[in-house]
Amino acid sequence: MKKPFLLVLIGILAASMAWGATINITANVSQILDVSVDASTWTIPLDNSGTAITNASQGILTVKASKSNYTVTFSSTNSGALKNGTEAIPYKIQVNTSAWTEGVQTNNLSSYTQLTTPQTIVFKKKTPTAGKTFGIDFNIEAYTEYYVDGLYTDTLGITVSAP
Amino acid sequence: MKKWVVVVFALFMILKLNAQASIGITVVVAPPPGASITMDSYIWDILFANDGVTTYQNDNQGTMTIRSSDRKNFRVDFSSQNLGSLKQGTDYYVPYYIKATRITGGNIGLVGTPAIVAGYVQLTSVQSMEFNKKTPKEGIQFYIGIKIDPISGEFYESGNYTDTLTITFVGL
Repeated sequence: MKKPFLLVLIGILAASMAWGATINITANVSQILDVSVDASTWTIPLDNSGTAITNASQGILTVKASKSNYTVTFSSTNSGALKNGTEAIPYKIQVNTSAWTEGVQTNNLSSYTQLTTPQTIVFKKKTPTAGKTFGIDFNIEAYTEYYVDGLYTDTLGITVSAP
Repeated sequence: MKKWVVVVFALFMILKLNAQASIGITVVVAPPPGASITMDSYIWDILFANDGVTTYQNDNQGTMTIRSSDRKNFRVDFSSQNLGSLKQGTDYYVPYYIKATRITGGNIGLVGTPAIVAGYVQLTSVQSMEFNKKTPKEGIQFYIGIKIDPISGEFYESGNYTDTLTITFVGL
């Protein structure tokens, strides 16, 4: 079969087929990453009796995330101590994630830990839109010497990030 | 015999007379004169709130113009590369829905009420509109709408999702 005839035949076939438009659709699905606490101030009385203070669910942390991989980081301005001038009371926190084990990769605050350095909880599942809540437990260990009376403060920072 | 077939035949005869000439071939493979589907935009960028509540719906996301030339009976097919879902990587999908709303009034030869005209449909399979009347020279127009529903109480994995929507003119 001669080449021009073949090309014409292809042309006839093409002409009997279809033509149209192609649309490229891109949807940017917004990223939601948010942490919040039920109370931004914790006031904890310490009676200087030497008895340990352990407050389960001192605060409630709510995490909202539309990513499958994200990290919540806890840090302390005074490296895990309440301070009054040069006086310091070390304290520890833990975060109870036992109700959502399937969503947690690593919880470095699963037991009481002093925030001498920032500590992380790494998650592996996005949350519902209402978020997931976790109790933040607070502890001051028993002591044998009085603390100097007065007001001791620290700032606990909680952030969330995703790669 | 249809006009374009006559044209093709004529060109074929010309080529046959001068088999060494290939200059006419590109003309031959052109579509039937004037038949086309065009959009006002071939790239749709959508921002989805992802709050588990808000639906994205734009009934006028694009405007489609159909020109049938001298074709009286033809079909317009809608298909999706990812079967009606926007896709991110290999694991994440966001289903979406398409609707065609006629702009051009009067009798445009649309046969019945296709599902894609009746309401939003997901392109899990090809959706079609069939016509039995050739369009005017300037064509007939439809709005093409798109809708993305939230999953109540859940986030979609955030990020960019894509799909390719193909609209095809098929002569019958």
